[in-house]
Amino acid sequence: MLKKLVILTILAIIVGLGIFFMSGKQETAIKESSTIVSEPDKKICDGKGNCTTELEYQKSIQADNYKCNYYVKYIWSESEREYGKKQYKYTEENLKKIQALKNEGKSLCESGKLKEGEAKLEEAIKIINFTMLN
Amino acid sequence: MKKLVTIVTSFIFTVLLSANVFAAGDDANIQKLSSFKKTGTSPGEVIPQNTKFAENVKNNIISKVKLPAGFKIELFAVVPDARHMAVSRNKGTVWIGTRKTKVWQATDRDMDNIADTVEQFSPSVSFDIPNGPCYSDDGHLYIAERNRVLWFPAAEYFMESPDTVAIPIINQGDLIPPEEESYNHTARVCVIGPDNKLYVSMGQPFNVAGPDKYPLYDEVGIGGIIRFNRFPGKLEREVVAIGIRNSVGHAFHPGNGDLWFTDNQVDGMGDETPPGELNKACGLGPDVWYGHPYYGGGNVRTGEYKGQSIPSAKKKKYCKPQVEMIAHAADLGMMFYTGNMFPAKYKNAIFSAQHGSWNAVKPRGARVMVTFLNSAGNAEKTEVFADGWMTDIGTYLGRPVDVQQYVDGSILVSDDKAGVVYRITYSGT
Repeated sequence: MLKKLVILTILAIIVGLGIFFMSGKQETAIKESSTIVSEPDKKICDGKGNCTTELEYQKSIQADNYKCNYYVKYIWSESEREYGKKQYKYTEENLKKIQALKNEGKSLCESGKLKEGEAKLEEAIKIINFTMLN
Repeated sequence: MKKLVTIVTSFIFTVLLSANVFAAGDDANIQKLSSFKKTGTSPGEVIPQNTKFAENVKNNIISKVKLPAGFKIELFAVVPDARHMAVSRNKGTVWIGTRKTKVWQATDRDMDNIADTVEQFSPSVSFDIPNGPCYSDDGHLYIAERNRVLWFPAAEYFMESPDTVAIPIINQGDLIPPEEESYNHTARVCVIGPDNKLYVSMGQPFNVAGPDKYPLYDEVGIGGIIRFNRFPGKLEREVVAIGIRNSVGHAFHPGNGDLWFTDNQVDGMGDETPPGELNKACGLGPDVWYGHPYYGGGNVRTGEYKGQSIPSAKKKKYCKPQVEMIAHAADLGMMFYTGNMFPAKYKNAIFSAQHGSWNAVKPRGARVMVTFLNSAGNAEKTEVFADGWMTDIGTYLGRPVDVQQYVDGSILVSDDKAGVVYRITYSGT
């Protein structure tokens, strides 16, 4: 009886493994190899004459106020910069709302209320993101 | 006063009439071309090849591109605004789409595997963002535009004339509802599937699509992939994938027929997030869902939908990406390598182009990537195959858009910044 049970268990494991490998499903995505940072002193330039090093760049994107700074810049590039503005079917009303939220968020960020500031800026970004592209 | 009114009325009438004639011009031509009739259109533009520009590309760009040992890159053709490509079966002609109004045909006429002529294809058709050409094994060319799909039967034979037989498979305005048309995220691509149907990827026209856009987008296949019959008759249009943000590259695995595609992900979330994607279809059907708009790329939730639970129908059919590419690299065209020129390890590997993006402090992309699959048909490793199109000061020398296999087993890479097509060969020396 025990022998039969052992054989059945082994068979079940073999069939299970077979199904797993044959199904071709991959539950975890692989990452491309170039994401690994290996040269901290490597110079990074943005094409506009501004340069930093890989290490400084990594520090900057991990800074507490990174999101605030990033969001403010993104809102500017998408809703204030002439080219950015042209990419979307904005209404004047939406642009005003975005501007007000950006100003409010920026002030909060500058006064050290980072989370509150980020939340306001995210509200502005939501309006941008839900606006149809031209 | 009466005279003035008459003049103004006549002027308005003339303007309206000419606008109408312009709009109808393409329809009239298409009707003639569909019936194998001439339109009287003059031959199209020809792009000179042996120029100082071509020499400059060789000296200033091609010399900077780095490849694995044994590989070589050279200039195949000068092609303004070169986007996605389709390679013909017999003649070695390459059709190259653009995001403007022209399609080019680059032909090697003296059999040295370099294009000798680059001419405007089918100038009697008024193309509208004809980004996506694709070619079938039985000799038919298809071009996916912003809101139309055209069929060019026997394109290799008709291509020398400005009047190329052209028949709409999907009429102007029927690919998507015209009110959903945009310029951005409108670079359509097409491919013929193992089921002999035509597959077209259709980006959705938002950074993140709002909830008011669903279920319409899922029903039409906006932010998804559709398939349909590629000859006139019953179209049998079906949605085979939904929840894709903006795919601009897809191909079927030559062995097992799996559909793979790239997907450009959400902007404005950070310099290094969310990842771009290379996906393998978990199935072909109207409810197989790839994450948008709830996911911004990989397992990163979009800010707009972060607090909301994903509808169970979508959650059940969620298909995760196979490869997470670096954020904002703009992964576009892709292909499976089936040739015999490259070393054996590249057989059935995926080559894909990273166009590069403006949306990051640290410049990125401008590379050709290669993804190797394991025996189960899943992605095993993705690495850089060709780079060097970006300078040390962060400016682009070129921006790869698409990768396609040429007739001799080399690969072609299009570049819409330099306006050229490169050819990569392997000699092992």
